[in-house]
Amino acid sequence: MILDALKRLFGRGECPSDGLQCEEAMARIQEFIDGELDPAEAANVGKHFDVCTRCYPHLKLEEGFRNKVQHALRHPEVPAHLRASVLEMLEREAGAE
Amino acid sequence: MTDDGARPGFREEALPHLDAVYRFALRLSGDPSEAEDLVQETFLRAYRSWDQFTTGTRAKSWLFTICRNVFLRQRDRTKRHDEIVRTETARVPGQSGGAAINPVWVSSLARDPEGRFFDSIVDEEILRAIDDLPEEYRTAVVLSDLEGLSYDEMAQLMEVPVGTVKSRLFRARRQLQKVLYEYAVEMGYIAERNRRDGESGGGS
Repeated sequence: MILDALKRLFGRGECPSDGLQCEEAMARIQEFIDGELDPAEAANVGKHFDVCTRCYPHLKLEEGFRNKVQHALRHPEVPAHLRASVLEMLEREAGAE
Repeated sequence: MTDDGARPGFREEALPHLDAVYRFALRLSGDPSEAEDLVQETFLRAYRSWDQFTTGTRAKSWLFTICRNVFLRQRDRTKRHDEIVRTETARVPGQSGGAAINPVWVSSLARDPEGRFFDSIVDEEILRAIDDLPEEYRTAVVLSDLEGLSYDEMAQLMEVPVGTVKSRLFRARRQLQKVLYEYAVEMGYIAERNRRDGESGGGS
């Protein structure tokens, strides 16, 4: 079963760090990357990822995925003819007032 | 040339976001010419209701809200109801056991620990996968990953609780990761079965 495989990989959620357990850190990975945790919690989660050899690779994969998505979404720029027609439309609107 | 008529400040506040609104419209509609119409309509409505914009708030979020509303209204009109968001009442990710652990990364770590397969996937394939997401998921990913909106801002824009935003983002990203991982396997960017996969110890 997949659950067994996950447990095998993550042991019982124990971690070399003193603070958070793996499961707790992994549960916050999205908010951690999105910058949505309060500073104290972010520091706590960050500390876990710094020292946990089981969780750190997941953080790296998640960050790699985000970078790739951000890169793909970054284009295109608005076509020149559309920019021109928006400006033209605003002129018309302003002129009609 | 730069006359805003009775809408002072509109150009300075709104026009810098033209590219962002276009990209957002493009991902919402999945079609360049539809996106252009959306952008035109968004700026027209924004201009006409500029007096309703609250100074000090983010003009970009406001424009995205208008753009999305226009899109949703048009979509409802054309009855393209092919997108259904699954139960959004489900728990927010990670609050129960295994949900915190991403099965895609578990597979990836066994076969491609550094996630090199990402480098082989072209942007067009990623955009196609994003375009295939239900609208609510697509919107969440674009607003967060491209525009960097906070959960609060997205919640206001989409008129849903923050918990729903988190849930949509989580599900959208997991779905994207799964699709892209499967694509990478299919294309041979990740070996189906790799070296030590499945053989622990062995040695003779």
